[in-house]
Amino acid sequence: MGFINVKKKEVQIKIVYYGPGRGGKTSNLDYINKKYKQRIKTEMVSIKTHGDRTLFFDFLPVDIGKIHGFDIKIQLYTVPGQVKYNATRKLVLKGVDGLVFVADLQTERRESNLKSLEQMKENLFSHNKDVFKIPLVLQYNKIDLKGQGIPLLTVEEMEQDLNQELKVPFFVGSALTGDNVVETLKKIISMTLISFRKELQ
Amino acid sequence: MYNVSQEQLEKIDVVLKEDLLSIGVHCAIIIDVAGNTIAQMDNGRCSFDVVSFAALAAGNFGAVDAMAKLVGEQQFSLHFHRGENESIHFSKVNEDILLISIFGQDVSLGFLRLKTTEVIDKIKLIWGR
Amino acid sequence: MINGAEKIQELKAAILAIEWEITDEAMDSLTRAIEPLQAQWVGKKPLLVCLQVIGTLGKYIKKAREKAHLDAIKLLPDVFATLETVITDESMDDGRKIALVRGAVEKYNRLKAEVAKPRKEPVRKSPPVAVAEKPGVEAPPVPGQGGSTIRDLMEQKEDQAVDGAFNVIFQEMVSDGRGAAKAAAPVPPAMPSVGGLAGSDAKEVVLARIDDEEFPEADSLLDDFFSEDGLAFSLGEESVEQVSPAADETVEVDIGQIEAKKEKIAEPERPVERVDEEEIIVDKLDRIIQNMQYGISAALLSQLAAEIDSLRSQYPNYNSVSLFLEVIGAVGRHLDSHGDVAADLSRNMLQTVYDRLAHSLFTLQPQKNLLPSHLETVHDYIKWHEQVMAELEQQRAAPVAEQPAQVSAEAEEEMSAEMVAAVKSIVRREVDELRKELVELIENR
Repeated sequence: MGFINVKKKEVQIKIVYYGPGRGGKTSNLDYINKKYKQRIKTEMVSIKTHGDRTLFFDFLPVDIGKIHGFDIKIQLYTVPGQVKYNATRKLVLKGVDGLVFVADLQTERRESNLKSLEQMKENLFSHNKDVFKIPLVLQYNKIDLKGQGIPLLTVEEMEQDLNQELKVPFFVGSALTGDNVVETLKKIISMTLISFRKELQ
Repeated sequence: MYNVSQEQLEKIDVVLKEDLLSIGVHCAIIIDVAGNTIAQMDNGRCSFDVVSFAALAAGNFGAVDAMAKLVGEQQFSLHFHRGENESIHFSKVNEDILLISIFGQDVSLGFLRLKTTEVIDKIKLIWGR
Repeated sequence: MINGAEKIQELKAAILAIEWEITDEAMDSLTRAIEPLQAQWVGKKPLLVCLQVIGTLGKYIKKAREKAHLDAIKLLPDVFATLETVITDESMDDGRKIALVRGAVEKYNRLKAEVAKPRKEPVRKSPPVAVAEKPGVEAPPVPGQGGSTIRDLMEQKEDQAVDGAFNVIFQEMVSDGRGAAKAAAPVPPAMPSVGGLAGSDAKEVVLARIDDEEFPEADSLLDDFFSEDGLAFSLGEESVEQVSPAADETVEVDIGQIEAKKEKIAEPERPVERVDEEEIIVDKLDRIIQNMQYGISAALLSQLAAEIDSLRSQYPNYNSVSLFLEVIGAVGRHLDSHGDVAADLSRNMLQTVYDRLAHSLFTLQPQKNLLPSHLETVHDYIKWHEQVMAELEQQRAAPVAEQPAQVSAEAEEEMSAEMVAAVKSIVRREVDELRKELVELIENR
């Protein structure tokens, strides 16, 4: 959960990238890590299998600077996406302040997107959190596959599936090329900080 | 989300220093279950990346706790990893925060466990929950 | 006929259990383990003395619990170790055994003196002074000469009298301490109660998504941080990590490039002259060796060899590190040819030598001051080499079917002969420099 350390004048915020397996969560963090390497300075922690599938989590701490005299420290996590790792996903969601749901634009992954989102709602509920209240951003990932002969869902279809009730901001992007990766992150941090604002003043 | 006052943090620092560092613990860290570091005291010899350590520790503790519940235990009474030079001991202060001690071969685990219980009682009083 | 080691099994188990957990049950097991031994060893004074010390320490710890003196906790397994040696080592002569026991008793006496000092506050101290350093205690008699003192110590009557008084002191000390501790445990009322300070309570707030609000300060901070200016970045960069093609589900903790945050250390006392050596970067070497801790692959080994070569060629006159590099290179070559022989030992060797290398760079010691570190490394290398040769021999003696030895032991010897030559020249150079300096010092007097 967000933690304000009055002594050190810092705020720690936990943002989790959630979504179905192989959807692009780790790739989002990889992109951020590589692009802002000089500014991030700490290395990314990845606990993963030999096949490069996330096993436990990826973790990347990013210190973005000061607001009202407080150092803002963002802790980015991803969860493992494979179906069998739900217990682990639940763990990593502990204390989450903001969420990015990375959905896969490929038609064949439609069902996985829905199941993953549904499970996320349940996992949040088990931590007494409400998916309608927590800062949340959707990312429709893998737009780079467009025009390559792979069937992709349209934005309207994605919105219909995932965002009809939630009505949260969404971005169409590509974790591979970096398209809208940073914008997604900026948006979720901003949303999360707005929630924190009252506590900072 | 929660916040802790400066005074509470300073009191916690004192407890860590007087009761844990004094018996030879190299590094005592208080973290929350989300992986944030709340307090940290060391004897000057801890040169590792505490931020990552806290994230991993929270994940580790969370996983072990989940396993305990799976096998029908409320929690495990000893969560401890022994190393050649450095060992790690975890204990739960309350549902939100953990105490982790990092220590060398010169500290007896049994004694550390006694001390940890004492420290936790003091911290609970300071924390107020 | 039960041998010595078996007799003390129960006692050993009790002592080990206390290492793990200090509870009343554990301390009671200790007492229970001591009793039969006391009956068995009637007349065997050295053994009985040890048992007595162990028993008393046990009772003290049981009573004092977390208030116990740190040294008491450490002394318990220490005295047991002495007892164990005396019982099981048949080659040791009686004189030596008695000296050992006497040493244990001295430590015990020093501890008693320490505990008996009036304590103003609950145990709050810097790491305990090593028992051996305590001055001013009665000078220990020289072995062989101190017969009468030892006899005194061994006299059970004497011990009981001493311990009787000791026990009384312990009891008083402990009950005082406990009383004081009980009073101190709750938060002192003088301090404001929790939550007294404005807005300072630890409280839970559930974050709510607030739509349609702006936070300009946050937005500008984010824009600044994530701006594209000054970024030297291309997506095509190759990553350092290996991506294994196999999709099997073995776990690999890839911690990427976590580096230990190096704390600033205090300046060394004498001014350090760093003889025109440019800064040498060994981060990549560090990563390779760290990754090897999780598994040695051919790829890693060739990376290691390549990095060593590269460092050597980049800094040919970098005397202070060349020895370390030589050793690391040699161990790497061994792992390449005989990865199954002494793998763990070799891995540890790599890490140890690398640590010394990093330390020498970090502390900026001039090369001549590195002689002890170099000599240590040479010593370690020799031992490692002996072990490797021994294991290779064993392998050779084993059935041929399992051992595809690519490089024979002779070749291994040759490689090490090269290494030895290189090492000798480095060490000789260092010694020469030191000698020169010494001569200068003498002449300038």
